[in-house]
Amino acid sequence: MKVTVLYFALLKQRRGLSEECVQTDAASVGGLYQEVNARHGLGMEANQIKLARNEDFCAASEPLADGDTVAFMPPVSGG
Amino acid sequence: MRFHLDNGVADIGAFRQELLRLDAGGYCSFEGWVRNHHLGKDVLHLEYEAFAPLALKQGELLVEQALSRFDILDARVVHGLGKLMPGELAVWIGVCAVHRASAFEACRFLIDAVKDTVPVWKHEFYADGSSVWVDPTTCTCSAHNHSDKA
Repeated sequence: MKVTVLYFALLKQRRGLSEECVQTDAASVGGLYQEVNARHGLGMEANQIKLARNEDFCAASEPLADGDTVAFMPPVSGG
Repeated sequence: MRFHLDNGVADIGAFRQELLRLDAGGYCSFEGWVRNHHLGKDVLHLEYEAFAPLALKQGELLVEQALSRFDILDARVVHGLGKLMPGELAVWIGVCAVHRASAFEACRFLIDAVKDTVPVWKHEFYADGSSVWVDPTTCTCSAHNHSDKA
């Protein structure tokens, strides 16, 4: 399936992209992160980052669907 | 909307005005300012990045939580985006209530919750030419008072 991935902050810096379209068979948002991390070496484990699917925070176990937009987010540092 | 992201055009006075109500006896405001130093380094400027749709959603949720948890009348939060210089406003929070105690408590809750949960990231640029995406999980600055993280 085709999924849009959004990267932020340090993850964006390490990936070198803010956004990309990926083809994946990953069953979950967490699984997709592990796939992308293995391919590109993002330097953070899944349990260190926050995940979102279609503009909502989600757990790593959140099922992935074709056409989803997921976000990979480092620990937040606003305020 | 009670939570806003600001690219430099927000009118804080107008948000305060929205909170000015005749049934309120207490108003508490917090301002987070851009500091010119961090962990011993001179900060030239910083840049805030956000996942805007989710930040707005999460920010609204936090204000709703404040309204239900504390005996307050209303609240507004504005978070700066983009490049900010030392002395500029990073965050503004305003809370009004019938009595002051709840206004103080809600204001404290909001800044702590914004820092903990809203998808915004701070990129700091230092006088020595280096820059870093601030990592709250490893920050050891003794001046910070991080709230408990679940």
